[in-house]
Order: sequence, then C-alpha cells, then structure tokens
Amino acid sequence: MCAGREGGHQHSTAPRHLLGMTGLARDTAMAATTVRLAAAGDTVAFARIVEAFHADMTRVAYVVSGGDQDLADDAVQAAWSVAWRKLGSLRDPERLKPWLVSVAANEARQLGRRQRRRAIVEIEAMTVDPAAAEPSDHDGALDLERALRHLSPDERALLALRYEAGLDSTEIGALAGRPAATIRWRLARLLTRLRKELSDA
Amino acid sequence: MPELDPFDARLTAAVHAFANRAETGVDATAVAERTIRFRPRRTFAWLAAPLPVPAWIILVAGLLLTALLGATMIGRAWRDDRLSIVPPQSPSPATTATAEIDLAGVRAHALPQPATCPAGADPDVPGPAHRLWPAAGTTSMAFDRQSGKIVAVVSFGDGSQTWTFDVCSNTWAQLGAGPNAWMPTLVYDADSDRTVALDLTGRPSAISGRVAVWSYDLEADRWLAGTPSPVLTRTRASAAGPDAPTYGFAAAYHDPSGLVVVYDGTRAWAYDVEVDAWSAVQWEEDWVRPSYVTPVTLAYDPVRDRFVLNVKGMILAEAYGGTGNRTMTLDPATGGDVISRPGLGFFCGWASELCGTVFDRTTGRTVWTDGGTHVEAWDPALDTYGAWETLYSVVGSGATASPDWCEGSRPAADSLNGRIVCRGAAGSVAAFTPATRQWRWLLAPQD
Repeated sequence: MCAGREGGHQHSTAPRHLLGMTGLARDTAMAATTVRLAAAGDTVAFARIVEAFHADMTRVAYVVSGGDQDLADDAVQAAWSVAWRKLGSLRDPERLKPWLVSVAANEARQLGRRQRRRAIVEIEAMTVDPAAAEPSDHDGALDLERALRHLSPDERALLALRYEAGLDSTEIGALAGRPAATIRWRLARLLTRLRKELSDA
Repeated sequence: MPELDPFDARLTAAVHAFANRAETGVDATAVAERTIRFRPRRTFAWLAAPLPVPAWIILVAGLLLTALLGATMIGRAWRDDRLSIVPPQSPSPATTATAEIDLAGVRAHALPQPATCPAGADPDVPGPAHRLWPAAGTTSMAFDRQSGKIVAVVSFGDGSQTWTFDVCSNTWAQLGAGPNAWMPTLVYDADSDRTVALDLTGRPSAISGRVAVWSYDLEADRWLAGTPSPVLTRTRASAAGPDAPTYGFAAAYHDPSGLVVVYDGTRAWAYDVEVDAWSAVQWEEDWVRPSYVTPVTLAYDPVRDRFVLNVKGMILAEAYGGTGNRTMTLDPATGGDVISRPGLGFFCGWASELCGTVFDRTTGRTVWTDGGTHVEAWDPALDTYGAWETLYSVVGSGATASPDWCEGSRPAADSLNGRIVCRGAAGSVAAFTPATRQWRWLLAPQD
C-alpha cells in the first residue's frame, strides 16, 4: 500500500473521482471491459466512466465555451447523452478519452454557435481572483481570455483539443472526420492569430 | 505530441490554467442514472421523405408558426427538461480515530505492467506430464500478476508447502515451506507485490477470533509473519453472546486503496501489508448489515466498485429475510448500498474450504465455484446485481461422467489468460474460461 504516511495510512486529499480515474486509466483491460459493459447497458459501468472522465470533458468544454461554466456543464451533459447512445460504436476502447473529450468539445462548439446566432449571451470578461494566481499567471490568463473572446467556437474547440486534451492533428482529424492536413493548416492559422493577439509574434 | 516551441509551451500552460478554473465536481452515479433515463426528443423521420416543393413550403411555414406559438406558450420550460449536473456530495467526515480508515480516502500505488507470456509460449497447451506436483492437501491459490504465476499454499494439517504454477508453461515448481497456517485464504496485494495469507489463529482446535497474517515475497521465497488482527467478534446479538469470537471470515484485495479487506460477518477490517497494520474500516452505522452470519467468500468488483459477499447462517435483520445463504454487494466507501439476494446453496465445506469467488476481468463478472461442479457468475446487469447465472453445472450432464476439475482448492483468477484456475486431483490443474464457459486441463491428472 501507500508509502510515506503517518499512522499507517495516507489519507489522500484527492477527490473520489480521481481515485476512480486512476484505476480505470491504468488498466487498459479493465477499461475495455468497462466500456463493453456500459455499451451493453450496464448502468454501474457507465457511472465508472462518468466518474473517470467527467473532469477532463468539463475542462475541454470550459475552454471551448470561453469560460462559460453553465455552457460547459450543459455541453458535457449533452455529451454524456451522446456517449451513452453511441458507446457501442467505439471500436477502440483505448481511445475512449479522446473520443469523449471530442464529443464534449463538439457539443460545446454547437451550443456556442447557437448562442452566437441568437446573440443573447454576452461573453463577459472573467473576474480573476488575484489570490488564486501569481501575478505573471494572472496577466497571461487575462491575455488568453481576451484572445478567446475573439475566437469562434470552432477555433476554441480546436485550441482545446490540441492544448488542453493534448491531441495531435492526426487524432483531431480522425475524430472530426477531416484530413490531418486540414487540421494542421487551421491550427497554424489559429496560432498566427493568437501570436498577434497575445503580442508574442 | 511533438516538442513544443516557446510560444506553444506558453500557450499550453495558459490553456491548462484557464481550463483548471472549471468546476468539475460531480456525482457520477446520479449523472449516469439521469443520462440513461433521458430520452432525446423523437425526430420526425418522415420529414426526410421527398415531398413536392409547395408541400415543403407549407410544411416549413406550418412548423415555423407552430414553433413560434410553442415558444411563446411554453417559454423556457425546455430548460427544466435538461439533464442537470449534480453537485458532489459532501465529503466523508475525516477519520478521527487512528484505528479507523476510510477506504475511499486511501490510494494504492500505481501498478507496474503485469507480466506477459514469453514469445512462443502457448498457455492453452497442457504442461508436460510426469513432472513434480504437490501432494494431496488443501490448496489455496492467488494469482501474482507481476510474475504471471499462481502462488499456492498446500496445507497438510501439520505444515504447508509453497508452490507456484506458471500459467504460460503450465508447470508446477516447488518453493520453500509455507506459512504455519491450517487452511489459509490467499490474497494477492497487487500494489505491494506480496501474496498475503490469512487464517484464524488456533484453528482447528480453538476459536480465538483473531486472524493471523503472513506476507510472501516471491522473489525471495520468504513468508513473513505479520501482526494478528484485533479480535473479530460477532458484535451484534448472536446465539453465542454479544462478543463471541467469529469463526469465519472472508478476504479480498481492494484495488483502489491497495489494502486487503477482511469481512468478519459484521464489520470490515483493512490490513496494510507494507506497515503491517490493521484498521477498522470506517463504515456508516446507518446501514443495516446482517449479523450472525459466517462469511464464505468475498470478492471486489473494480468495475462497479463494490464488494460481492457470500454469507451463510442465520440472518437476524428482518430486511434480509430470515435464515439461509445470501449474496450481498457492499459499497467500500460506506458499507451500504446493500443489495441482498438469495445466495448459492451448494456445500462449501464446514470451513468454506471448497468454494471461492474471484473477479474475472475479461468478462467483468464475479465468478464463484464450489470446486468445479458448479460455476456461477454474479450478474450485475440483471436488476443491478440481480442474480447468479449458472455458467457450468454437472447437473444434467451426469456427475459421474464429469471430471474432477477441482479437488478442494480455492480458485485463482488468471487475469493474464482470462480464466479461473484451480487445482485438481493427482497434481492436475484445470482452468475455466468464463467467456466460453468451458473447462480445460492445463495439466492432466498424472498416473
């Protein structure tokens, strides 16, 4: 068991969902079994998947939404609904996480586009708790927020999948149904814009 | 990901920092249940059918008008129909006593990659005949995932031997003396890479209520005696008195915490092999658990994060319906969420030495066997842990014609090959594959 604890046991401060994620993520055979059971309608197995990947999906959706927590929550909920219906079509269970975060990004992108069309949502400047970040991080965060506000939901989805989820162009292309070259070109164009926005060109 | 240039690195850090502001806490079970209950609104498939252009115009105009009226009348009602994120429950109260532990608050070490069979090995080919094999004796087994071998303790009443069975070459190998146990339960502690043997002290002549423990280092071929457990008692009212010592326990490895959990009929205890310490598992008192029962087998289902427990004997709580065998699921975090069903009625020996339960990672099911004549799987898909399903039974196929797959040995789950392995008569070893529901000899009975 755990080493370096006092009084026998180390009581982790990690939330329970992280404990579950560790187990599911480190054992690919278990992950495959869990996905198969969930796809067959096993509620408990599906809950284990929710437990393991909800946080990753929310973080990606949050970036795509430009920092709108409500929109991110709605997108992730919609993504779980899609996942539940289409889990059986996932051919490679090892690709579960990329698939789930891309579904969340897509739902957030679509919700964001609808909001833009209706023009009823103002993307407000985030208020950053000065105590929550170092001054240098604070400046960087504000720069990114400003830059994000100028991006479309599609561009933010690309940014989130590449820089938050860590997917490369080939993976994003496969998940989006587009050639990797197209994704690379869009990323390059996006980066050029961001360099300008963030005054780093 | 390729190496990042300075701007890429800065952007990655900024995106991570931004994403980390998201509130990500959630009650996964509630979200899953709501998701599953949620049904997307039906779409009108006939809209896709080819219609003349004027009909489309009328149809679209009608739909727009309906939508306008609907939106006016219903307003924002659709929002109430959405799934809602359920906030996480309040965290469990912190452990207050050093002797208690919250299983949900302890995390196991990261596990190294499990062993794989060497190139060229065929685990389906029976091992060579006329090799050394253990003499007849009660055999307890556990699968050591890091070595890819089953560790077996063969007990003879006045001593025991340690053996390994290689599941890739299907051969026995004898090691040193076993622990000084009468009929131990073996559990492989994966994150400590130790096989743990547990047995009631003083058996069979006296009942002390303490569980003796030994840990085995396979590389060094060395058993190390640990500290016996506190006295395990049937704390709730029992025929033998309120504090009578237990005469049965069941044990399983709890993967998330990396602890060996022992259930004594009323309470659970956790043994940490690395520091040789016992703790009482902190479970909520509100949950009514049956008492005055003898645990027979215990397994941990890591897919559903539940213990699957088989008990026999009188059950006092009315909620559990009088006497008889029961199968229950227990939430490791609370001891609750008890789902109780009639258990298996097969004979397991007076010390439960004939039966065993293991979790099969290939099928995601808890599999029970009574020594080879019956194999049952606890099916969680039926009514959320609803019933045992018979995978194999000699009944109907003729017991006399059935080979003696297992001879009083508790099985081990060979996760390397996705099968349940037990020791049979005359040095033989048999394997049951839950996915195909078939027994096969890994080592045929010797002459």
